[in-house]
Amino acid sequence: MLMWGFWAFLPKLALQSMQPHSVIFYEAFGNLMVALPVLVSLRLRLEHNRNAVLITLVSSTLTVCAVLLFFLALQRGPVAVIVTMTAMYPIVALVLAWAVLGERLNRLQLAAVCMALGAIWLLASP
Amino acid sequence: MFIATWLPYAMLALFGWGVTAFLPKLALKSLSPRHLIVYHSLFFLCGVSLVQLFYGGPEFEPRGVLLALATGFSGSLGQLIYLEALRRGPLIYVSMISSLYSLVATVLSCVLLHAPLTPRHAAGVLLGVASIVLLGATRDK
Repeated sequence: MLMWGFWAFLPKLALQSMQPHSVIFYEAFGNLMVALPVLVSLRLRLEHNRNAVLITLVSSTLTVCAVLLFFLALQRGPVAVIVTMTAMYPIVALVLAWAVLGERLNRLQLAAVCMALGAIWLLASP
Repeated sequence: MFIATWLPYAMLALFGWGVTAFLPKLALKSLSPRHLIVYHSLFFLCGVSLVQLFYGGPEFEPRGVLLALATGFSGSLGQLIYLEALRRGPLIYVSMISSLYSLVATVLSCVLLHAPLTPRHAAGVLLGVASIVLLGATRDK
């Protein structure tokens, strides 16, 4: 949460001097600053598992697409509404966790999740 | 029926990010977080390189580049920690708590950019902290 807080905050500064497509390009090299030491720690040996690699490929592609779609939406509509709406993505993860993984919540946990969603809504609104 | 032109893009982005938060839970069944972060970084680089074809290449502005690198570094470190958490805990908990990162971004904006903390944002910060405490307290043992 803390690191993603920086991740969400820093582009506000970067976008003051560059376009989104440039920021996301250099961001990819920032990713490598973490991935390369990790790769070295793995002694340059990456395990191959077809399913996991395929899932990661889909996930990474979706990440790039989601960022681009977000920018396209921002070009066409109200920033406040779009930011608030897309910030609600944990609902999709929550539904998938319930439907696919069979994860369940008791009432107190459900209340906590509702509070978290309420917080996201409040924080994403202008 | 009128549908705003931005709505399909926003809905697809919402869905894309939601699925992205979920998929690593499946991949973690076969590979460790360290392997997944390397694959993710490589695929992400390929994806954004393809995007540059449509925009005619990236611009270069030293301060912006440094900030973008820091963005990638913190995002990737966050993703690595998210994967470690996801390996140990249920998706619902991990995705809900980590998605409250906007709470940190709000506090950073206030402290570093001197952005005003509106009553709505203050309420969001308090509610977010309370939800994390409650999620932690009601965590199944």
